[in-house]
Amino acid sequence: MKIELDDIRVVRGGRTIIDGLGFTVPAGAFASILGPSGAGKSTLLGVVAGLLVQDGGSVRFDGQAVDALPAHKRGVAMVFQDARLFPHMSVGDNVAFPLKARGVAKAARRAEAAEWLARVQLAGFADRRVQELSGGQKQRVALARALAAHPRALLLDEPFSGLDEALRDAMRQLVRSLHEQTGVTTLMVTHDAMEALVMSDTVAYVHEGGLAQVGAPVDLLLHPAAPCVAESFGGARALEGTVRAGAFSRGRLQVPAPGVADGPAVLVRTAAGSVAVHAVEGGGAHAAL
Amino acid sequence: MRAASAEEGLRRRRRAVRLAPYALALPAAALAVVFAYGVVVGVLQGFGIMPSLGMNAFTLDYYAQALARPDFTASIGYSLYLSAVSSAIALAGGVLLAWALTTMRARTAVRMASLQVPILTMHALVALAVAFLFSGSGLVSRLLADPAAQSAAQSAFSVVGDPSGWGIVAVYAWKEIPYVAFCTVTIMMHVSGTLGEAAAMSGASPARSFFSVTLPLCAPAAVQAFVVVAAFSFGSYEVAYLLGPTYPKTLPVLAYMEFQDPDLVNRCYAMALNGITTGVCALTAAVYFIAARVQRRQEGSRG
Amino acid sequence: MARRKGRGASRAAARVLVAVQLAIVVVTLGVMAVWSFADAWPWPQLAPQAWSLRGYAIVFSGSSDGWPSLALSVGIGAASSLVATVAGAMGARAVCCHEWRGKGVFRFATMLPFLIPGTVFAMGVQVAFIRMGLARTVPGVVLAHAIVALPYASALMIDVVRAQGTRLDDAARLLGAGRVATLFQVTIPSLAPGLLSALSMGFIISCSQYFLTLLVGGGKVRTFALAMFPYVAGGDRTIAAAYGVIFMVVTLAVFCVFRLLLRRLSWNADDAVLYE
Repeated sequence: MKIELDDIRVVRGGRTIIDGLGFTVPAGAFASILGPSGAGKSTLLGVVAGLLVQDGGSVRFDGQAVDALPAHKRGVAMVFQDARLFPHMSVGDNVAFPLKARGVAKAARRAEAAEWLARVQLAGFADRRVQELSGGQKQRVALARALAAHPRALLLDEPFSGLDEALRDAMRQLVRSLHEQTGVTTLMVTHDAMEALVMSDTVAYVHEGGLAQVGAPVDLLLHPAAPCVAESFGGARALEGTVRAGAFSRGRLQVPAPGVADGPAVLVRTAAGSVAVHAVEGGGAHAAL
Repeated sequence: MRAASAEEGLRRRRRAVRLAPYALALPAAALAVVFAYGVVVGVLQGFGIMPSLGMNAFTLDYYAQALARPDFTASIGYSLYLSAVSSAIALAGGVLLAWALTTMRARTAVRMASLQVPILTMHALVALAVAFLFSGSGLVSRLLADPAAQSAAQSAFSVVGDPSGWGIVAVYAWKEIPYVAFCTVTIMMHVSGTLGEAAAMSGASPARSFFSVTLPLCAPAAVQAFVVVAAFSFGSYEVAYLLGPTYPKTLPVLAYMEFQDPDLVNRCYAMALNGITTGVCALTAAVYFIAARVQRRQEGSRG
Repeated sequence: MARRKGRGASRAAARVLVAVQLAIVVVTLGVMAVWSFADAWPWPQLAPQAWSLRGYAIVFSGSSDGWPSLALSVGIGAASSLVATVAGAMGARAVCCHEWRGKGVFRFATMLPFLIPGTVFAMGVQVAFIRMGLARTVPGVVLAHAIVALPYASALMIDVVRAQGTRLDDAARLLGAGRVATLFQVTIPSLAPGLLSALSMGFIISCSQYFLTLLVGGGKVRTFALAMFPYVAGGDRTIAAAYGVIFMVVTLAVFCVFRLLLRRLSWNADDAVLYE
């Protein structure tokens, strides 16, 4: 499902949080909304979801404006930063909740919920209580629950921020693989530049309520259109990846790296602002996404 | 055309979002309006406005009569005295009890028994128990009695109708100390657990950390409870009726006496007395409002 | 070292204070219980000379409308606590989750019954209810009790709702649940502890109302408190004590039932502490 944002404006308490922002997410794509905290990214997601009413502009799904529709009629599902699992239900009932909302019979609900739990590597967790889960497990249940809603689009609001680093990597891989399996249009909000680069087909950089740049991750990396975009990739740790046939790749990110030997490599940002790829001697093993 | 209907839909949604809180607040607001209506009708009656009797003129006569009443000063003084003493005892005792429960890290059952049970008990029943114990024929008076005394009437010791009203104060203390403690203990336990420990880490003595950290943070809740107790004890009927002396009567008892007078015009008189009672309570309401403000600011900074 | 001893001393003092409080509570209620079973207890005996169930028999006999008044009290208590809790919960939602003009005034208005004495309200509202046709009726009494319980319900629910906000509701909406489904499957269950506390508080407040019920019900609506009061004011102490014991047993039972439900429904350890 194609998502189009057209000249969105949001004013709250006299402050213009989002001003004339618009971009398009092609059907089936994985798009990230990137930017510093407080830039209005979550607000934008809220507008797409139907949780917030915008003060101007329009949101279109597959060409049809959905502005009149309340959140539960839009066919989108969201995974929040704090998981928001229903504490009074078991894990299985949580995942089955969207199915129940659509009137699916009990047996079919439980079966499908079990399937989704297996897909997020939590097979057999259906009867557990929500309070018993760790942070990472909760987010995986939240993912399973959102996908069980068979949404036309999946919205993720900084879903990995509450997790520790090692867990974050595993979760990213999971989200990527689910995206590949289901093909659902996905829109993710994040403040982690590397995350956006590595996971997305399209990145929209939001700065102070406006769109600084939108395009493929490699474009934002190599040809930043604004200083804020350039800065957000600089100073970060070097990016580990693999070079094959003259291209450095990590996840969805593909950067041309002519003349660099095949094998493990590191992408760094130089002080001058340009990007360089260096092959790693002796090959430190690392997982490539 | 599609754009127009989308605009329309957007506007409709925005209107619904704007109106939602008013719709939600409606039931409670309706109750509050009925309450205000009742109070206003009463206040107007105090000013001589009783349409059902054809009296529509605003007058201060009834207030003048009420204030000029020979026993008025005694009554309001008595009410103020009882209320002030009871709420002061409730505040001090309540905070002390809350401190005790916090310090000994009381288990739930202990907290329940010492706080919830008194809160559940009707004031009239506490008055009854006080009479059982301390009236002329009560248990304590039997314990202290002069063996030669032949009947209860000869016993010198009785709480019922005692002009000092100590029985009334005892009832309020029994009921309201746990109430103040209840309002304060949750915050106190939370604060003492977090900030109190921090203070202890930085070298403060338990007493210092209590007085300079815990107490100020619990103060708004305690003051709010104090104000509620003060207003309640000032305007309450049952206990003063059961244990109070024939003279002076508290204001509410006086007011009800006039209220029951077969001459309906006496209602205005009673309502004037009620108006005075309300005036005093309005002052306490102002204090409550300020304390609530302070607490809200505290909440904001604590996040 | 001195500090540790100091802390030990203060803990001991704390224990003594709490023990004293418990003793006072037990003695007070114990005396009432003893009197309720006392048949003859003339002065200056320190213990009843004869025990009997006379008090209880009279309470429940036809002459004293013990059963009907108890049933009426329970019914009115249930109804008024429900009204107050629903109003308080909806109002709490408005206060905590929306920005709107008049929020401050509304909050203050719901707290007014706390601050304006019940006697003033009772005497004033009697006339108002006569005009509205609610005087001397059960619905009128229910309404009056609900008004008195509103501040408690409101304060409690505001605390609860503020802690939760609309987080879970938003999540439910975005999983396809409509307004009604969200309300019954997500909102109410997640607010259950607060709702239960408000309901039990409202019930107990309603049962304890004497003066208000007398004025608004005009003596025609005879609740348990109304049946009990004349005996407490004078007259047979044994019967008054019997009424008192029954009252305490009923309210304690209701309270315990609510607490048990609360414990079963509390999935957070914190909740149990919050709703004490």
